[in-house]
Amino acid sequence: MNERLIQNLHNSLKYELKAGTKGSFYKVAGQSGILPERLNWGIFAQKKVSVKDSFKLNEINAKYKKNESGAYKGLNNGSIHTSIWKPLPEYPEFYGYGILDERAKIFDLLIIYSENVCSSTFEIHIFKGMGKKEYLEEAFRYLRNYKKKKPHF
Amino acid sequence: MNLDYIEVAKFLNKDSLNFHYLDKEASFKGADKYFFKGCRKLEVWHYSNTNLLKIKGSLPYFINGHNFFSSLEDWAEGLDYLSSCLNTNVYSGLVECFEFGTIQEIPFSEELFLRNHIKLPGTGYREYKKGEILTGKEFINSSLKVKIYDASRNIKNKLDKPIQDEISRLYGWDRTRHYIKIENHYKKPKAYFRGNVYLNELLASSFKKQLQEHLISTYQSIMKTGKLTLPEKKADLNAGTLPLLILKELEGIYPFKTEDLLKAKIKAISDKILSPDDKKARMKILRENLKKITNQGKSEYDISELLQAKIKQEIESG
Repeated sequence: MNERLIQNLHNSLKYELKAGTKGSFYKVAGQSGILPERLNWGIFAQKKVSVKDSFKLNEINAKYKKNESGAYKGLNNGSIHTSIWKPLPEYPEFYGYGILDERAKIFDLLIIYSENVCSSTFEIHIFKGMGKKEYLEEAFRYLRNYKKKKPHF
Repeated sequence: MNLDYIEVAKFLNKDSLNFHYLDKEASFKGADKYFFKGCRKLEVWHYSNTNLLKIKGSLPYFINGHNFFSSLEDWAEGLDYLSSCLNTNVYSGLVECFEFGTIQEIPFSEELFLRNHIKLPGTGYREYKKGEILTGKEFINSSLKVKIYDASRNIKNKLDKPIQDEISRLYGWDRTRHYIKIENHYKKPKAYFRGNVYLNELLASSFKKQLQEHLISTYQSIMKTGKLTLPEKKADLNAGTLPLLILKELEGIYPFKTEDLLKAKIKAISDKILSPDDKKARMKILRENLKKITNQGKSEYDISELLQAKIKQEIESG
């Protein structure tokens, strides 16, 4: 896919851990009206012993507030959920990736980047419609170059 | 040479369109208009009563941000992405209209090119100007619109600097040189290709060959001026020769002979004003002036050879 198109499908947000909480992150940078301002970070469901789950690193769960608008608010009564999986092996600098929201036949790719293993801040890079196997490599490659070009946030 | 603007229609029957990636722009009776954002927007129409989907726009602009060139692979990537996001196979859509054309570098100014392409038999005509400058022409009939326009102006005015840099790097565009766009806009593909055209068919390389050939043949059918060689000596370019030059140019387009018209005009003048000897003398001068003008047969602004070379190059490079 053309890099310019990927650039137009890309959006980035930054979240920061709220002091005194274990996994409550608030948006501190990036466009409003995409993901909820507050995200829960952590695995709350019981992890199964399966090959698939061995790639699972974390989960994002959140709910839009009543007065909050968002790209996914119309799905699942304003609740969003995605598992975060290990990144492609060639791109270990990224924490992982998730897809929002396959259940609703939406395939937005979320790539997570953090300088502190998501302990206090992380970036979510959203790639509209690229949450499919055939686009993963391109999105990771684009993001690596994007991160190299100039500092963001 | 590549496809550009397109309109595709598809009945979704019992399938549902995925609206998540669409931004609603307007609602009309029975139809909603959305746009789908890429490098540029595509229009997406949904007619809820019939569950009909229509996609309109320039796919090269959507996927690349420009229409300087786009390959069939670019199209496939863009359409795969659209199909995936809209949750429908757009390849089986019916092509309602489309454009096929090319941007060609020319060795003279764009305006000179446009001024010397004057008529396409069997079509109406419209020209576009920016102030006094001629920027484009369209030759139109009920099923086809042939467009020729100043592509350099579009690139400089409509595209951002990074995109201009990209087309320089990838395709050798040079802002100091001259470029023209020649395009066939098929308003009714069904009429031209004797039956419905579906998007998957349009993207076949055999179809592209047909479109290339048709682009060349329509271009060649455009009547051109610039077939005359100007006298080289200043003395031969007197005030009496200049109108004759224009008349001789028009001979290529309209069914008349300059010499016959002049003869008839002189003959019609009363003998009281011009005696038969005066008439002979004037006709002699006109003939002498006409002799200074030579017809080289082909317009110096005809770029058929450049277009043919481009097709050859595209075939060779696969």
